[in-house]
Amino acid sequence: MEMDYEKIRAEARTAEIKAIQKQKIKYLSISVIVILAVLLVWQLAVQFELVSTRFFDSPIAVIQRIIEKISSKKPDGGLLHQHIWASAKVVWFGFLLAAVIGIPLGLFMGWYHLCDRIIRPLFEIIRPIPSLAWIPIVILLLGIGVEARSVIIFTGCFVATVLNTYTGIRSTNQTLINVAKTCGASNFQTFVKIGIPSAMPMIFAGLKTSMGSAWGTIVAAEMLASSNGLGYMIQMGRSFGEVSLIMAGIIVIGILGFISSGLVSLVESVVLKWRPKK
Amino acid sequence: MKLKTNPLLEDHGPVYKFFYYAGPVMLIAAFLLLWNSVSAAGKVMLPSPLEALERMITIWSGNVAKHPMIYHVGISMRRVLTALVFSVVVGVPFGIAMGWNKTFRAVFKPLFEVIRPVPPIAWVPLFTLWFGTNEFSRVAIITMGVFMPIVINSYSGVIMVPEINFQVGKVFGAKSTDMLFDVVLPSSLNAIFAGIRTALGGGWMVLLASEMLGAREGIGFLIMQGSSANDLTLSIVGMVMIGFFGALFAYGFDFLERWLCPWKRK
Amino acid sequence: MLEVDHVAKTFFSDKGDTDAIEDISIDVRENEFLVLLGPGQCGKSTFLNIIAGLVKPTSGTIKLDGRAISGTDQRIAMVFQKTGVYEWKTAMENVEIGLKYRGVAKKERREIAQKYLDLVGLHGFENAYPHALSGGMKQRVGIARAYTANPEILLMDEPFGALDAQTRYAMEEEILRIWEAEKRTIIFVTNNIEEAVTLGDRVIQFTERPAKVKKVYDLSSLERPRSQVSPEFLRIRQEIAANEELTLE
Repeated sequence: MEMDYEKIRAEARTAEIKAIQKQKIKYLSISVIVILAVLLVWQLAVQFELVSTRFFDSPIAVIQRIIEKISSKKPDGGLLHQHIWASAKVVWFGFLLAAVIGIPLGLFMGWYHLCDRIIRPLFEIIRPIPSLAWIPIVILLLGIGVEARSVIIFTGCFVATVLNTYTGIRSTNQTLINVAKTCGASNFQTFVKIGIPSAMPMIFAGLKTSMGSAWGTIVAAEMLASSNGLGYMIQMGRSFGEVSLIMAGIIVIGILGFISSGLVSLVESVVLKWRPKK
Repeated sequence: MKLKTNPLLEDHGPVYKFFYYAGPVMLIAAFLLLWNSVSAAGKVMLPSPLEALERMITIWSGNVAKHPMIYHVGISMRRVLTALVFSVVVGVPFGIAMGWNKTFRAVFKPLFEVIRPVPPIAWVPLFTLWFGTNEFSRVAIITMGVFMPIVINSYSGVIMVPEINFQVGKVFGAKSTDMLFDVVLPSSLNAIFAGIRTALGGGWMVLLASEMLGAREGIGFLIMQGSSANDLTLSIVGMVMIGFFGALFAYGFDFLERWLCPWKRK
Repeated sequence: MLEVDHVAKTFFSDKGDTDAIEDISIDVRENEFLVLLGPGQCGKSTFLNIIAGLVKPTSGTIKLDGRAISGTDQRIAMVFQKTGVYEWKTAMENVEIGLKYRGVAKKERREIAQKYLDLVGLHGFENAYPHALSGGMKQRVGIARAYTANPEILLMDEPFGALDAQTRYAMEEEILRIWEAEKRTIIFVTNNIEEAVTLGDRVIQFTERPAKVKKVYDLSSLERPRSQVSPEFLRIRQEIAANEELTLE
């Protein structure tokens, strides 16, 4: 009976593993085929003028445009990397400022009731105002330079960061706090050694959210009040009727947003290396 | 008369108690004072808090930019609601299908993942090129911002249904349709609502951006109008309005969720 | 009535195979209360899932009334350790799902469901949502749900494992009362020796993973209702405990 079972088991193993591989390959190839098909249809539609080039440009043309833009200043007066730098500078500045101010604020508000009580009402009034709505006031007070745009990004990131930090530290496990108390820790020590680390996962979740919204905000802010940056570049593409520039800009923005979130995730995996891999 | 003592204040002295009650008021007062002094200094044309308050009241009578205020508010709300309703009606089944059917997922998920990192506002130039600067392209842009979170959250809701719910269904003979409508859908309602709530928050932002960029009515338009006409009071009123209605919508939505899901614990 | 013939199960994965069940053959008699006893993680839950049709065995067959079964079968119902009660349905709606999915008309299935809700002692709680019910009550909903589906065999996977000790004693009495009132074949999985000896007509003791049958105990000599401190009870309990060789990992 033993011998028989060994053989049955080996056969079942190969059969099952093969079936799983087959499934994985099947779905992966469907995905790949769909993407290639979309690109192909897109390219051919433009090439054979099924859609007007006023509205569409082919994938190849877009990629050419991106490469061209690295060295050409037309039509908006800036090189691609200059625009990228202008946008990224503002995004990261506003984001980091929001983190530096918002995280401590959220931590204190979450831990110390008095803090929460005093700051809360003002915060709740500011909170529902979308960051773009601050543009007129910011322009009035700070003009349309880098500082002004950073402040606008800041308002958006700030709220998300504070909220997530607050929620994070409020959900600290009471058992852990009790352990600290029985070991004789002061309130402040418990705050630093237990509250803050507990809040880290939610803090990073908040940072990822605010990074995502930061990119969205900067694009809008640049369209409204700037003379450089990717949002401005796309707007110029519109003004000059160059579809490939618009599409190129959209793709670059998407990639940059993706990279920025990835960077935050990278920092997170280093800081939170005690977390089990999901 | 029996006074209920606040348990949070028990172990603290009079100084603490003072700041507990006076603190928030003091902070808001400080903020208003700062505002007032900046506007009174006269270096920039910032209206004072009082002027802003006065305008907030008077704006409801008479017209602003050729329409009564209520019209502007109504138009903004209509735009958001249209985008939202469309996204829910199309997006929720879409997301559920993506979670339920592996082939559907293999076909559509990659396309979503490519479009997702693009901020919705980035589509403005493209859409205005294709459709012109009209109501349709505006609502379409808002839809781009609202559709994504709804689909993604509906999808997550389905794939995160606990295995045991499926096991129970299987043992008791649930067919595919039973499984989908009786088990998967209610299990994922939580995530679906979370998606709608997220979409709503982001939707106001996109609404604002699209109105600021090329509309002739709506709250966003008023905010920009105030800026270009050197009428900052109008901008401030616009800010307050959008904050207020955004919060109102969020509240209304929580209420709707509680009404639709009576099985949730308090 | 139920013949399990040389069932074995191995879980295959890239990271290595797990042998859950080596070789088990069991005959289950009609209307008996059969207890499967084994240490934690030994594979007994997997074994129950195979009978329920949720997991396919690597080898071996299962025959009910002479015919082989594969997959879920409406003659076999299950009570789950995590209760698996649907949060969005009332107690009544949960209990009736076996009949609902089989297309039984509403009036008829409500009557049957009501009967079993009463039997498990939940009369009056028909319209309650699970969040308002205690753990023990939710499990009773699970038991009523299994009975309502009118199965020949009821599988129970450590149904009282998540309950506190006192509720557990009460539920042990409850399940015996229900079983006496409506006799079905019950296959009950547990890791608790006392529970096994209190409940079972027969107790089959499993080894550690990979599971094999270690010993079968016939408890028909113990008269019901069983006292947990009678000499006979304690002797059997001692014998089973002595046979448990648990290696602490």
